[in-house]
Amino acid sequence: MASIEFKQICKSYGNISVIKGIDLEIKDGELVVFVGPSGCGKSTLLRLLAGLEEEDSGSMYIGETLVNSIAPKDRNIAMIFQNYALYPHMTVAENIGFGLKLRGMNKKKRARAVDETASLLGLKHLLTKQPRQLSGGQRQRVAMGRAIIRNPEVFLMDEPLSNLDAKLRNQMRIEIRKLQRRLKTTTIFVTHDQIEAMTLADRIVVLNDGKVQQVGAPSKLYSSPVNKFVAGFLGSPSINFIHARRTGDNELTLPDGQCVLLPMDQAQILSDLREVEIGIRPEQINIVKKSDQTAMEKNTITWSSSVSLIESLGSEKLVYSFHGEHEVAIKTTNSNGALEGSNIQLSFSMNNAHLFALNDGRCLSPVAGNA
Amino acid sequence: MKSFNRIKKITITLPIAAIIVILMIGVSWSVAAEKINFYFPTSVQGPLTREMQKMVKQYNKMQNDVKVVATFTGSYEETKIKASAAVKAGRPPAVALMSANFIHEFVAEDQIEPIEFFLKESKQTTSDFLSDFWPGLHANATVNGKLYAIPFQNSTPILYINADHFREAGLDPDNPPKNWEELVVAGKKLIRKEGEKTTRYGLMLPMQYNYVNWVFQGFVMSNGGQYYNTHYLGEVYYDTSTTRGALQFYSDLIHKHGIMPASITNSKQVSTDFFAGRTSMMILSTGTLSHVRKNAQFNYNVGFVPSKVRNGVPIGGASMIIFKGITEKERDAAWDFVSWLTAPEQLGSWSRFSGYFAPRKSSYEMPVMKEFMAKNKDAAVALDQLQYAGPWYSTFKTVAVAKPIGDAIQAVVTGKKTVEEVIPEAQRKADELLKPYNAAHSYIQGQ
Amino acid sequence: MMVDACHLWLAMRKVKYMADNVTARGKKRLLKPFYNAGYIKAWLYLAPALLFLILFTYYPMVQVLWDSFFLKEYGAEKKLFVAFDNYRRLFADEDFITAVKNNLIYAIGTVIPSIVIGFGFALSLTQSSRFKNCIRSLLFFPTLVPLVAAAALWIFIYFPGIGLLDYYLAKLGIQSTDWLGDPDIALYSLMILTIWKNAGFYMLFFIAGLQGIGEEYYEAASLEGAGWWQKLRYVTLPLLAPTSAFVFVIALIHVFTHVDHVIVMTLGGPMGSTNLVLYYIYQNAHEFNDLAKATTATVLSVMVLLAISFFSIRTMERGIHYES
Ligand SMILES: Nc1ncnc2c1ncn2[C@@H]1O[C@H](COP(=O)(O)OP(=O)(O)OP(=O)(O)O)[C@@H](O)[C@H]1O
Ligand SMILES: [Mg+2]
Repeated sequence: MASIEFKQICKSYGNISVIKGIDLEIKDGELVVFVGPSGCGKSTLLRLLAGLEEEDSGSMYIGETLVNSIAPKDRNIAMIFQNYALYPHMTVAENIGFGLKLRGMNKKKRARAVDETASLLGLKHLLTKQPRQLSGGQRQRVAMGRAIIRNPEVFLMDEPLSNLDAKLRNQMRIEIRKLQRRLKTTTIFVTHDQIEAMTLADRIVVLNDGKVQQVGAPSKLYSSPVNKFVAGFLGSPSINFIHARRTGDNELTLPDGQCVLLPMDQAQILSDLREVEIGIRPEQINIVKKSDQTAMEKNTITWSSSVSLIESLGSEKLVYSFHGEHEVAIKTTNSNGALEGSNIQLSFSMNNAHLFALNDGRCLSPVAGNA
Repeated sequence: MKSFNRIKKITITLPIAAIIVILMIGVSWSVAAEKINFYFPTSVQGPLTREMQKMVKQYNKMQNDVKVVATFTGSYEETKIKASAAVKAGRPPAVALMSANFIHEFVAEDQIEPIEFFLKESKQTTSDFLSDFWPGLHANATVNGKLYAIPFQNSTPILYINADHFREAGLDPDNPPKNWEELVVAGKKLIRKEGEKTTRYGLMLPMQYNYVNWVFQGFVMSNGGQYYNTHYLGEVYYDTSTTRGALQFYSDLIHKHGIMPASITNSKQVSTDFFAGRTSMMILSTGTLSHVRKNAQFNYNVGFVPSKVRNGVPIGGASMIIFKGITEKERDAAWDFVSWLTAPEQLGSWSRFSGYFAPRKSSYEMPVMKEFMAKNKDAAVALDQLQYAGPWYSTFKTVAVAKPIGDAIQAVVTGKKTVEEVIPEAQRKADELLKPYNAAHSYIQGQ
Repeated sequence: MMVDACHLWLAMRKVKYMADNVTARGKKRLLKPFYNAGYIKAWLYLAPALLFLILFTYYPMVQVLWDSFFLKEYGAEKKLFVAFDNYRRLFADEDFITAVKNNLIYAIGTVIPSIVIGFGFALSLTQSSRFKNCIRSLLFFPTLVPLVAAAALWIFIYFPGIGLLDYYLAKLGIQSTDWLGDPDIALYSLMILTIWKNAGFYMLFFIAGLQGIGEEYYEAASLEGAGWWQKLRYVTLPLLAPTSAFVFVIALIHVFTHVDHVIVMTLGGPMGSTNLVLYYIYQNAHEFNDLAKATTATVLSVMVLLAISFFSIRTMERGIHYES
């Protein structure tokens, strides 16, 4: 069990810089999830920590130890690969016990340890099978077994669930969470899947282009993204962006000509920006009945548009419509009788919206009340 | 399965033969000349192969009835294999130049025409015809009293000495050792040593299979013997005093006197060592004469293979044979070509070019040849030795029967076994091999 | 050699094809009835190859087996049925026993070292860089030289006293050796040539095999605590087992099917010390005029080669399971 620290880690392949100075602290026993688009450097960062790649500069600590120049096998790390890297010529038991064997543990002790681990993971009946005789989920579990049996200080999991079907994925995700809670081993989990990220993580690290965008608890990242990238990356469907021009100190004009007035404290943050983007989560847009039309509040935006598609998620519905040219997604429990092709009235309150600078995407307004 | 040579050879030869046949048929429609195939080997590739092609071209040009297609077929052994394969495929060549000790195998299989057949047509008798050929050549060309081949190129073993070494050792280079005693005396004087290591040997002999038997046969003959029955294919005399004596002499030269190295040197190593001065004497074929002439950077001389109770050498070489299983026209064409090629003139010019001696006495009566002999004293020595020459070792299954004595010599040379051990064993193995022949032919009397 | 390489390649494809059929698609597939159009098509594609195989491989094989029970005594009109007498004669022939013994020594002494060396080369040259590619080509070069030419070349290397080998050994103060003329050494000299010639060839297979092993297996092993040797022992060697089995078979087949160097360098001598079974067959068929014995020895060789082939197909099958 140990904490982890990255200090100004940089890595490039040839002259392509992949990791551009990462600073990150992970607490002992924490489960941290790395998310980010493909190619942003998640795997590279994991592999740097494992010692499978060599950093160009910076330092990494596991616990108190500087591990930069320590061989992978001495870092006391276990890693679960996307394709599990189970040895096809070894049985499940041999795969699980491989690390112990290499470390010279005697046969009896090893068998006992393998047994324990296997029962923990429900693999006892499979011990004599070879990997090719197992299902995807079972293989995943064997890979887990091989990782946990050595009781390492750190688990690294690089998209361990991406080869599984949706149902199995959910199930394994819950198992991993439970297991991690129980073992309290510091864990870094890489995924593309934001639901996985949101549900698993103690803290999420959003990476983009080799840099950390934001670190924080899932709900924190969701409600207060520091920039357009983080806002857009988390949440499904994605946050809606609406372009706005500044037409007065605290006045924004939308493409359809509507104006909104911002409270003065928000207007201050705008300083001298001329153009912004309004970010509004799908669940914050309401479908209102035409008859219901109340007097337009000062900071409520209302417009009407046609419905292009409705998806039902059971209790909730996803309604796709437009604001001007832009498609917007609405997530609601009350669709107020909207039908595909029909016209509906939409509205959201600026109190629930995020403002982002158009030029660099930084977030201008932490939304009040939700922080 | 490419492992099976026999099949491989046949499967390769078949299509090749087929293609040749198709080509022959195709071309013979357009040209009137009778096309015949001629297989020939050479022991040294390159110049000899080219010279042979040149002679064939000359023949093709000077007349219009026959067109000879000459095919170089590799070594003596390979030529035999290829000719046999062609016969088995039903497409024998018309003519082949065949190693003299393989002739009887083709006779046994009834694959070649006796030469009498052609001589009769031109109203010659066999004995008249043969009288122009050196007597030593007759036996190998004759099987059961019938002539089957016409000698074309021939050689004997001969002693080569480094004259400079001789002079330096106080020996007379103009008088190379004549007998075994002189050979030992000279050999001992010629050896040079650095500590335990011999830097120069007195004598070297070729010891690889086949060549080893041929030279050894010379020593057996010198010792007054002959290690096979020259008239009957089913008998060898390995376990005899003359053969033992010759082998004991080898053993003494090596293990007693240190004149020869105790190793299985092949002919190429022997000549290389001779040229490099690492041996003062060697015995190789007269066919090597031109090679020595070209490569020796020192004065050399030649002499007879040293005698014990008499002079004696075997004759090696190759003869022309004409195959059965061809059309009458082809057969006539073949005879025309063979008669031309074995005429005194052609034999003479081939001899001057190659270094082999010409099998016909009359070749040497021609002025060009006389001039050549006068210029090359060494060639004259080789010719002189011919009077003591006998036929080349040839038995039923020649190569197989020769192997036990070859192995025996090699075992003694390398010091693995003694003469007493190897000789009875070689005789036993040979007798075993000759059994079927003797079973079939025990009623046949000698020639 | 090019022909050999083609042979090999074809053999590999054939074996793999057969293995695929047996494992991946299930044994039933082969027995499917004829009305299946795809099946007929497959046979049609195979027909030309099959025809040649039957004509030039299977028919001669049967013929040879048949012939091995007959003997044409000298002077006899016809072949006589002699049952197993040719086999008795063969095993009574000291030369044959010597050839078999030599071949065993030759097999063990060339197959194992050339595979080990080839594997060693492959290990050190897997990752490609320009330098390593260059070295690879150099090591592969002997494979491209026809065996006959290689043998001719090595005659000069082995030339006592002045050959390349003795020349350099002399500088170390080692006396000249009769590499091909000493019956105790000659076979080993041929073996060295064979190893020189084949190691590079086997290297190629091993390089291909090594490149087929996923990097993550090594990474996983590193994290599990494996050092260089343990990775080799527990990851590389087991995962390379199918390749090794294949190379092993190829090497064994080489041993029984290549004798060009014997013909060029030693003619089986001195004293039969370098006679190998195939050369023994050649000698008996062409030089000793004992076709019956040659035929019989051929039958035995075919059996050995067939056994090796079956062994190879089975290991290949097993190999396929590894690619889970
Ligand atoms: N060995 C390598 N050589 C060169 N470039 C590499 C190498 N490994 C990774 N890269 C590059 O580094 C960048 C980051 O790769 P990395 O594998 O860390 O991305 P990732 O975030 O894990 O992506 P994904 O989600 O698709 O797995 C990519 O642009 C990739 O092309
Ligand atoms: Mg990745």
